[in-house]
Order: sequence, then C-alpha cells, then structure tokens
Amino acid sequence: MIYHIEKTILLILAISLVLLLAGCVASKEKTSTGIVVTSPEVAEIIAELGGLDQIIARTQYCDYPQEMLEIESIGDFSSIDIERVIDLKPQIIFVAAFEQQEFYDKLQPFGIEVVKIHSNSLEAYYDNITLIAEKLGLSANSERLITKFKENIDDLTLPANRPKVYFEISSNLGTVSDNSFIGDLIIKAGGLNIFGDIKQDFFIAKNEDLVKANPDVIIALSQVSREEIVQRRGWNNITAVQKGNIYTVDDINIDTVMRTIPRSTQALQKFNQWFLNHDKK
Amino acid sequence: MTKNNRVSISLGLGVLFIAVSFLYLNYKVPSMEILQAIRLPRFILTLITGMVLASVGNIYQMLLNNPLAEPYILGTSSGSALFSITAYIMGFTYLMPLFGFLGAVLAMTLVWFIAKTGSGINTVKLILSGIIVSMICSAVISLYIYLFPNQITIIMGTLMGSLNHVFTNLEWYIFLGLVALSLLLLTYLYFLSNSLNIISTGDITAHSLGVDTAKIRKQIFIITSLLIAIVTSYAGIIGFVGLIIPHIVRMICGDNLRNNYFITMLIGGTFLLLCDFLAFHISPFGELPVGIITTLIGSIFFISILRKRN
Repeated sequence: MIYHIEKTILLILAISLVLLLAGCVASKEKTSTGIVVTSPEVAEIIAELGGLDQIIARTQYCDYPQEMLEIESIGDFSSIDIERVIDLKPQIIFVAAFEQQEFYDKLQPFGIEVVKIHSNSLEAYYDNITLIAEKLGLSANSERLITKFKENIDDLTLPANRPKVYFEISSNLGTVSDNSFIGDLIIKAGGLNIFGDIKQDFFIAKNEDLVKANPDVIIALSQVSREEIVQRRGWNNITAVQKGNIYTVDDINIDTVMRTIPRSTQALQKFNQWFLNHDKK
Repeated sequence: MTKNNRVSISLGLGVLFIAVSFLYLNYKVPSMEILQAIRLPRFILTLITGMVLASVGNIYQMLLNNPLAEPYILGTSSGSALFSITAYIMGFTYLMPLFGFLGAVLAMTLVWFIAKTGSGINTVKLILSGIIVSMICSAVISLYIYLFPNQITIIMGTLMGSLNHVFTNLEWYIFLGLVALSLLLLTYLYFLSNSLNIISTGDITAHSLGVDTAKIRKQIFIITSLLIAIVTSYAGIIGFVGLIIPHIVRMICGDNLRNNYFITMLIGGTFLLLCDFLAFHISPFGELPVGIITTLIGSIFFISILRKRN
C-alpha cells in the first residue's frame, strides 16, 4: 500500500482545493422586505387576499395559483433551506403548526416573525384568514373572503335524508372525526360522519366497526381504486358499495379537500352533490 | 424434562390456545358476516404470524448460537418493509404485500451474497451482513419519512407492525395459499431439528457426526427467509415475539429443538392472539400498534420467569 501514498495525498489535496473553491460561491442578492410562506394552505389564502406580491419565497408544494410558481422555492414541506430564509430577511414567515415546529425554533432568534397557521376546523380557518390578513395589512379583504365561504355553505341544499359517510385518508383505514376541517366539510355538506363523535381528529378505524356502521357514502382519498374497495372482504353488504356510492381521487381535486383553502368550497359542493344523490341510485 | 411433563404441558397449552381463540373470535359476539369476512382472516393472519415468528426466532437462536438472534436479524424484514412502503408511495397500495415479498427475497439474496464464503456461510458474517442490509433499508425508509411526511401513517404502520390488513377477495385467496405454504415449510423445518440440535454444538462435532452443516444452513436460511417474507409482507414488523418466546419455551422445556418445536409454535401463536386481542379492544375507538402490547406483556412475563429461575 505504501507506494500509493503520494497519489492518495495528491487526491486529498485536490479534493480540498475543490471544496475551498466551492466555498467561495457567492449567495444570491438579498431582499429585505416581504414574507416567506412554507405552507401551501397559507400561500393560497394570501393569494386570495390579494397579497401575492408580498411573497418573496415559497416551498415546492405552494403551487396555486399559477403565478405562485414564478416565486423562488426554498425547499419542500419538510426540508427548508433555513440559511436562505435568513438571507432573504423576510418580515414574516408563515409555517404550518405541528410539522414545522423545527423552523419555528430555528428562526425565532433571528428576529424574523414566525407565524404558525393550522386550521383544524372551519372556525379556526376563519380565524386564521383574519390573522393572516392582519399580518399583511389586508384586513379589508378578509371579511369578503370569509363571507364568500359562508355564503357557499348557505347556498347548499341539504339532503332530507342525511347519508352516513366514511372518509378514508389512508388505506389502513385512517379516517377523521368531526373535530377536523374535513369533518366540518362533511357536516356542512349534509353528511353524517360514521366516526364523527371520536375525540381525536385523525385515527385508524377498526374494520369491524366500519362494516357495522354501514356507511351510505364512501369517500376514499387513499390512493385506492373503486374496484379495490368493492373487493374488500366483508364490504359487499355495505350500502355505499351496493349502490356504488364510492368516490376516489379520480372524482375530486384532492387539494381542495386536504388543504384548508378558499377552494375547499369546491370540495364542499362535490360532497353535497354526492350526499344529495346517495339514495337516488 | 420428562415425556410425561411435556405431554401435560402441551395439553395445558392446547386448552389455553382454544380458550384464547374462542375469546378472540367471539368477543362482543360479531355477526356471522363480520366473523367470517373480517375476524377470521385476522385470526389466521395473527396466528400464523405468531407461529412463524416464534419458530424462526427459536431456530435462529440455535443456528446462529446467539441468544439475541430474532427473526428480523438477517435483514429480510427490513427489505420487506422497504419494498412495501415503496409500493405504497408509488401508488400501488394493492401490491404492497407482493412488493414486500419481493423485497424480502432480494434482501435475503443480498445477505447471502455478502455472507457467502468458499465452502458455505459463516455465522458471524451472516449476522453482520443481515445488520448491514437492515441498515441500508432503514436509511432509505428514513429518507421516505423525510420526503413524504404525509404518508407517515402507512410507513409507521409497517414499521410498528399491525395485523389490521384489509384483505380484498383476491388477496385473501392468495394469502390462504401462502398460509398453506408456511405450514408446509414449518413442518419441513421440524424434520431438520435433529441436525440443528447437532449444529448448535459446534461445526466440528456436527461434521464428525455426518451432518452437512453448509447444506443445512443454506436450506434453513432460505426457508426461514421465505417464512418471514410471507408474514412481514402482511403484518409488518412485530417485535419481541420472535426474541422472547423461544427463551421462555426453552426455560420450560429445555434446549432440545425437537422437543420444544411445536410448543414454541403454539405459544407464539397464542401469545400474539392474546396481544392482538388487547391491542384491538383496549382502546374504545382506534387500535393500538400490537408491537407495543407484545413488548409490554412479554417483557413483564419474561422478567417474572427470569426471577423465578434464580
């Protein structure tokens, strides 16, 4: 091995040189005002409030409306380029509450205001719109946005016979209760969540309980196809399966359900349509 | 331990097994439809998983001469978990068990390839290769958790192990076929138990007694990996059963694999049924991951046995 030693040392030196040079790459120019948004939900609310021009950076999944895509992306949901955020010197950074606690802790010391936004109910969603609008000086627009959402709810015709609904998030029977935004959407659209009265917002349901509850409508946004649901053992006697009231990701824009955003009214209307039609088949 | 004792213990355990099965299937008296379409499949999955984990754990502890060996030590389960999670992330929920099986077989081949020496396989090298393959798979799974935080429930479900697999009709028939295969393989392993008893005394002795250690090791390695592949692809990674049950059985029935083989299987199955029953009914709404229950109950039981023996 000894006779390779010069080569090895040369190689180490060469690598060190490359690394040193790489360290000299300058960062992009600094901006000093504006806001950074990491949560797709908040990004959409801001755009809807008319504050799109204040956003200086976003994350990859902040993809609506179209204009959002022209803004610099600083990472994806869980890996955000903190150095770049500090570099940008934003006035405010909006983060999602639980998942992004880490960024909250890291950015607080730099004098950047970190605002955590998480809407786990319709009421929380309205409150958050007001809060975001206040932070951006757009309070004049918040009332309009909230009223529009409420009007959409009021305009719905509720089914006389409220269907029992099972809402599937993950294929291991992960579902939601009434203590969640989706739970609220189901209620407002005129459905009865079969797991509505459970305290936790999200949990894994028991197959037996589900079959016993016998839902009239199944909304499965868990990547499973309608055929797979029909094929599940013991599900053939469920009303929703017999009547074909099964809806999957093919039937709805999943963002309008999973995100708490102004576009959620689209999900609300879809749900309402499905619930109205449940016993017409 | 005398033959009489063994027979009475087996009888006792048989009665216990029947009682636990009855409880598992009939608790809160389900309708015939639920019993047949949902509870029975889960019962069979739980039973076969418990049986396989305990027997394979028992065999590995003998084969590798290592009291800490457990069914997952040779990397098969991590390969299985990695591939079934990959299937889920790519959107093929339906294919998760199939991918899991493929992953396990691939991991097994890789471990074999790394551990292979000229004449056969060396035990230490086998354990090391297993651990390395496990680590590679875990690293990629961690990467998935990092990249796809919203898929975390399925990823955690696979890693913590859960017996709530929702079978479609087709899947159910495939699974029944695999259960039959598992039972055959388990029986075949029983006929290797004499050779394994001899191998556990050391290669030199084994050779002098005419046991082809390399061949037996290879056979056992392939068969056990297949068994673990089958159960992990449906149930995920359920810890503890394969590690502790064999120890408990050996404390009661002695070291002879031929004598304790079926008892291990029976206790493994009964134990997991009981744990799954608790995991399922202890909380009023959702289920607890069964791995938590197996570890809690198993370790308390194990400590008490350990103390008594002192």
